[in-house]
Amino acid sequence: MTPRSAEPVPRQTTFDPSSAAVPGREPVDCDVWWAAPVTVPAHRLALLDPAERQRYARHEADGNHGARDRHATAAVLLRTLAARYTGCPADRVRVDRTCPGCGQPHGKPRLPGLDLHVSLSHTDDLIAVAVTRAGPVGVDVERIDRGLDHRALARYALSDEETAWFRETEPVTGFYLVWTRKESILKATGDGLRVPMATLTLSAPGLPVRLLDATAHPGLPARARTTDLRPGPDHAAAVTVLADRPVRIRESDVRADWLVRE
Amino acid sequence: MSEYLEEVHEFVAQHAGGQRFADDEDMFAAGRINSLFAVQLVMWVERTYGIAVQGEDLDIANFRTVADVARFVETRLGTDAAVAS
Repeated sequence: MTPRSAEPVPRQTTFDPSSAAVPGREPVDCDVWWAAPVTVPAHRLALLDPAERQRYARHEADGNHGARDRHATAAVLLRTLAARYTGCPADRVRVDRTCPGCGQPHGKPRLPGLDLHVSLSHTDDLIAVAVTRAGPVGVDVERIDRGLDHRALARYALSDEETAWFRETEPVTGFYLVWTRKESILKATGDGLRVPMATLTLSAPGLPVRLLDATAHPGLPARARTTDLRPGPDHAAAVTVLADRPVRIRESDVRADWLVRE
Repeated sequence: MSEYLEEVHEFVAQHAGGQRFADDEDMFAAGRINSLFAVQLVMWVERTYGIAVQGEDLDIANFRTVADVARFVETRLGTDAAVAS
């Protein structure tokens, strides 16, 4: 699946380690687009829906330009990419964020009527959008806080089996690896915070990424295809696609001028 | 309302780039704060107030707004104090 214009620059390709060719089970693609937040020009803000505009106005009123630009950039990027993959005009792309748990608009974004799965994640300075037709997708990016009390936090994120290999000496980056993998899995399933991370058990670091056990979802390990991403030295990130076949991940940078001009 | 409200506000603001939420504002709405923060918030509640947050207490409903967190702390401390006396 190739976007109709190749203007954003592809930068690298990673393969799911489990993607050894199996006849009839050819890999499916999942693209991850990276972008830095920009100040979105007025003509592009027209793409925002009423709830997003309200949020934009509130950030503007608070003088919180960081949050304003981050959310507007993500909203515009999501629609621009959806348009490129499907041919639906960007101003006709509807984004539904209804939470399946409570009906509030803070759930995983869905694109009603479009045959496309998307997921969004951001830090202060980086936005990730995952796009695929293969199946439900979740992406997570975190800025690495080297002062994080990661050993204490590990108690909330690790299963008993993982605690066995997560040593006291584990560097903070090891924690972020586990965290982003699990977060991407729970975003793909749509569970988010409603399912504790400790109910998931992943393969140990250094081995191919595999979900070995998921207490709340017995069928999940067979479908969850998790891959570590490479956002740069200050961030950790992972993407998970729920699919019955190998997934090929392609990471690309979005050029700021493309985003604001389009 | 809760005497813990301001303490929760201070902790949240520190982790949200100085941003102050309204008492009843959904902190998790559309990615305003992330889930790593949610866990840090749970840990902070446990350490600051000596409350064990486990099992069904880990419900996101207890942590969705600053007011929810303050109410949760108040309820738990109130309950424990009642048991102790």
